[in-house]
Amino acid sequence: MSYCGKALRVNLTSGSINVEDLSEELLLGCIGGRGLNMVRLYDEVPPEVDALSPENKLFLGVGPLTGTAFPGSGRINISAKSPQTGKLGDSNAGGFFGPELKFAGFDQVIIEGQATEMCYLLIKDGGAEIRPAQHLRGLEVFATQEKVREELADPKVQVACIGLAAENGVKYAGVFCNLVRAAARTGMGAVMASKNLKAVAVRGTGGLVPHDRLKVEAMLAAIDQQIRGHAEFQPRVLLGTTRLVHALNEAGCLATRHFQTGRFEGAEAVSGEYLAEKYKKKSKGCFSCTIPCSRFFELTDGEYAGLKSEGPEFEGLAGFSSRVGVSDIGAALKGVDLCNRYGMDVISTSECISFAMELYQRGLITLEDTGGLDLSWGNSESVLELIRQITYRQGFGDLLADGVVKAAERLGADTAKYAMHVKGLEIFQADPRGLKGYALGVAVATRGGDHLRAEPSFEFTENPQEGIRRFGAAESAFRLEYKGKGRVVKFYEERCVLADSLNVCKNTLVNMEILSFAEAAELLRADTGLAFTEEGLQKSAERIMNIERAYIAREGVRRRDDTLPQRFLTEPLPAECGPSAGSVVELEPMLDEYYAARGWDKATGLPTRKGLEALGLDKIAADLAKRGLV
Amino acid sequence: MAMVTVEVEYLGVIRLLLKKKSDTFSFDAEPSVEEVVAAIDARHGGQAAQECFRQLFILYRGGHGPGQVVDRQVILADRSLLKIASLVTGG
Amino acid sequence: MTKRVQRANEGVSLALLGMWNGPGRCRTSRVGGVVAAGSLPPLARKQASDHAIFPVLDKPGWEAQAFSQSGWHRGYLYLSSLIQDKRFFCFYSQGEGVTEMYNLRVVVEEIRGFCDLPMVPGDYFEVQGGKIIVPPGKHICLWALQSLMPMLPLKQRKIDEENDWVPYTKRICCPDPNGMVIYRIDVLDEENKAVEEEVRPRMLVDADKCSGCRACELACSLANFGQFAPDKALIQIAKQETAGIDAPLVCRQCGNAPCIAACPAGALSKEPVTKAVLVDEERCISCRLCLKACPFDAIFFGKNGKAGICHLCHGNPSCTRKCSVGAITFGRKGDVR
Repeated sequence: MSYCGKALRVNLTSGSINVEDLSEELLLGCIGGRGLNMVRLYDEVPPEVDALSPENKLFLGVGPLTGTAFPGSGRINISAKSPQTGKLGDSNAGGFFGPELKFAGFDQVIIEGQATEMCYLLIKDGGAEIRPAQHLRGLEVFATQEKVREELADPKVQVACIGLAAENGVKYAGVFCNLVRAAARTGMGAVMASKNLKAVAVRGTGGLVPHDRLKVEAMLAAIDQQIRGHAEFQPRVLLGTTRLVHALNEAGCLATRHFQTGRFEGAEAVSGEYLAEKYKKKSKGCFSCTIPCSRFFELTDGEYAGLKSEGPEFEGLAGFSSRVGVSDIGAALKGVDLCNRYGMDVISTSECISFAMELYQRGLITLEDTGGLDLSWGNSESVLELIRQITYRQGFGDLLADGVVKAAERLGADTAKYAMHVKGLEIFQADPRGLKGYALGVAVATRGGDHLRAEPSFEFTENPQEGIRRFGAAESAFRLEYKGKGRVVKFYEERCVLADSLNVCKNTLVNMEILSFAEAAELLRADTGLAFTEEGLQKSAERIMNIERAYIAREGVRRRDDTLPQRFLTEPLPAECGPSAGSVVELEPMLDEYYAARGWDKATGLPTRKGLEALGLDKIAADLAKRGLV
Repeated sequence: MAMVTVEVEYLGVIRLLLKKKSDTFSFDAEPSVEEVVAAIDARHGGQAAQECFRQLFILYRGGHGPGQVVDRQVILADRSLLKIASLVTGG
Repeated sequence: MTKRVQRANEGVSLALLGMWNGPGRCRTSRVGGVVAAGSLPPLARKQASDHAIFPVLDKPGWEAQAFSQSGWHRGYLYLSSLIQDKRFFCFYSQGEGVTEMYNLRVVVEEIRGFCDLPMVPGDYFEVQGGKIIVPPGKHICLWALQSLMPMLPLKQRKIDEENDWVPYTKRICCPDPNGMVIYRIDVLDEENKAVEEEVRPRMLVDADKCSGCRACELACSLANFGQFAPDKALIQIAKQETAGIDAPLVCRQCGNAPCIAACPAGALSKEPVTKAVLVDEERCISCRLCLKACPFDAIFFGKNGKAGICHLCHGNPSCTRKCSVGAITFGRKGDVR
């Protein structure tokens, strides 16, 4: 049985720690991980709750495959109401923290209330204690982890912690484990800081006993074989996501100078290939992963010689290079390193900085506004200085520390159209105009402007027959086309839900399309002994999507919020963007198709009462009806 | 006999596998993409050709046009530049 | 003796003498009527001439290309100077117990560095009786030949001995650190095919490749304890995350195992076939002296306090099959990957 069947509920106000049972019915219905978190979030954190108040709750959720030998089974979701967006907060990280929680005997941890003094939570086999952490206050992420391990005299303790950015109230501060594994988005670190919780440490010495060991062993061996023979295997081991710098640049949709164009002339100097050739020491991987797609690098020359760390992945690398016009890979890696140490989300940070740089370029802000910081494109020193200022909420950085929406509000109404966000969450390092499916996915993502809710990589396959077979339109297999994308996004959203709920890596499940719903049901039956079916899993994925949609609907989200920043809708990509030149995003037809595929109301973008009840979400349907939403 | 030269630029996986950034090939007549890949295979051996077709976009950029994705049958003109890049997939 | 042959003779002698670092009499064939002389016992002398070690010089039109420094030859090889010390040809003296002798094929298996000579994987020479035969078109480097020479009589003879390491050793690395040419010595059967030899692999670790994923810990705990429980595994990855260090800690089947020597309770022993270290839990007193002695920190004490040491899964380790980066493998160090 590779569920633990237990949740740990900790109240930091009263100090109470309770172990709750998780029923089989619950687990069959929401699988685990993100699914489990979202069920709780809807039930326990209503709209009236302020995200930084003691009434907000932090959920750490792992799934039935977490901690098993399934490739990439090291994931955890950390969710709460988001202080950055004011709506659904959810983040996901790899590394080794999630499995340790399973070995300690828990599928979920719920943290409520607020401690009077800074503390950290220590979870051990079957139980937990709240320990004082004043000595950890002010420590950066790396130092916090090492200090906790030292204090507990156990290098195998896994630590999820916040850094200075969270302590200083930066709204997009994340929760970090294994130094650089970031549950970064939507400000979950800020929630922890509001609870005076510096870290969660876990040490589990138990094990998970698969229900049918021989079957599980056989299935895992077959999956390993499948992975090693997969066309994606080599690229991911050799380059991971860093190959996207060149790949997107060639396609003409690499976020460059805050999306003013899709091609960066300095791409080679900051590419994954260059990094691998010059500075990569070896591949690194998450727990139990057959495709170690991370890397450890050390800079051997340049201004930042000596800098070494695990990472970066694409978003960080591009965020502090092409997005801000910097072509010095050392500076880009330094930027990522600072965000890791201070505990901040690289996407939100790079958006806030590049937003400011575009305003500076256009004269909407001046040297006086920036406190003397020259925000010309490519000025890496200013970029790094801004990261520090944001962390310490000093100078101009203070203006940017609450996210790009708030920054635009503070800098004047004419700046709002330059804020690249959806529903308050800043968007990634690819230009949506070159990726229509991703554009739709980002527009409808339930946590805000996010590409990891959907990851519709089918649109890169350029296989028209498969497009017709799977999504009813040949165009669905082409990134610059529109038809079929609504159905593509729906499909991949559910694959992402599955991955996040089993809590395993999306690289395997979504991008490499390994472990179909049918195979997942088979594996879960063998692992847990519970009656999972293909249909049931599919329905659970749909159910979780609807719970999330209901949650943000409750917070006021409608069709009008499923949109993209103005630039992507109306300004065509410039001529140098090769095949993507001239593209904009025609969102509305894709939205129509998407809502139809989901069975949601076309005008409001909301689920229908009947639809919710068909998924067994009667209570949510009743709640929404009470609020006049369905 | 006019020689047709084609420059090939390697990106992504193929660049790391071949440990080369670019190559120049000469042909007697305008080659198809497939023939260029055969030339790569002949020069580098190993799994070069297999990797090229297996997973990589093959981009073409002539002397004048912007980059276009092409398939194996496309014929390349003299002094064209063929880039072999990684597929864009999730990240 | 023609001048050309003489030059060839001299060339070879000079090269070989240079390598052997000592005086030696150049023995030539009966061409020109020079008679072999020296310290060979009568039987060996008879066999040397019987085997006609230098038939090539009898053939008209034979050409030797001698390079005075490197001294490589095509065709048949001069071995005369090597018959100085009969130990290198112990088969001539028919040592005790030697009844069977095999022919060998020495194959260039892999070139790990940059070889200055035209060695190509697949090049080989054969050893038949006392003759070394280099096929036309193939080359041997004399420096490599010199260093692997002692192995030839050892691989040619078949003696049943306890703890005989020779049957498990097939590969030699050439002595040039720039070249690192790996030679494989195949023992040949009557049909001149390589005999399938016994292998005695051990756990090999390359920490520079370890990605730190700990899938090996899971494979071990699943195979041996039926659960996903890395804490129980008999292989553990030691990490230092800030420096990016991931070091697999696992038993390496030391020949002269310090743990076995250190155990005061006699709880440790070697499995006779796989040579894995076995723990008798009933005798183990949890004193941890074995861990102290172990140069690889590869002994783990579980909840029951008893020493846990990798037992190689009875010869088919699960962890090495799981590792996707080749940080842990089960084999011999020289093996081609």
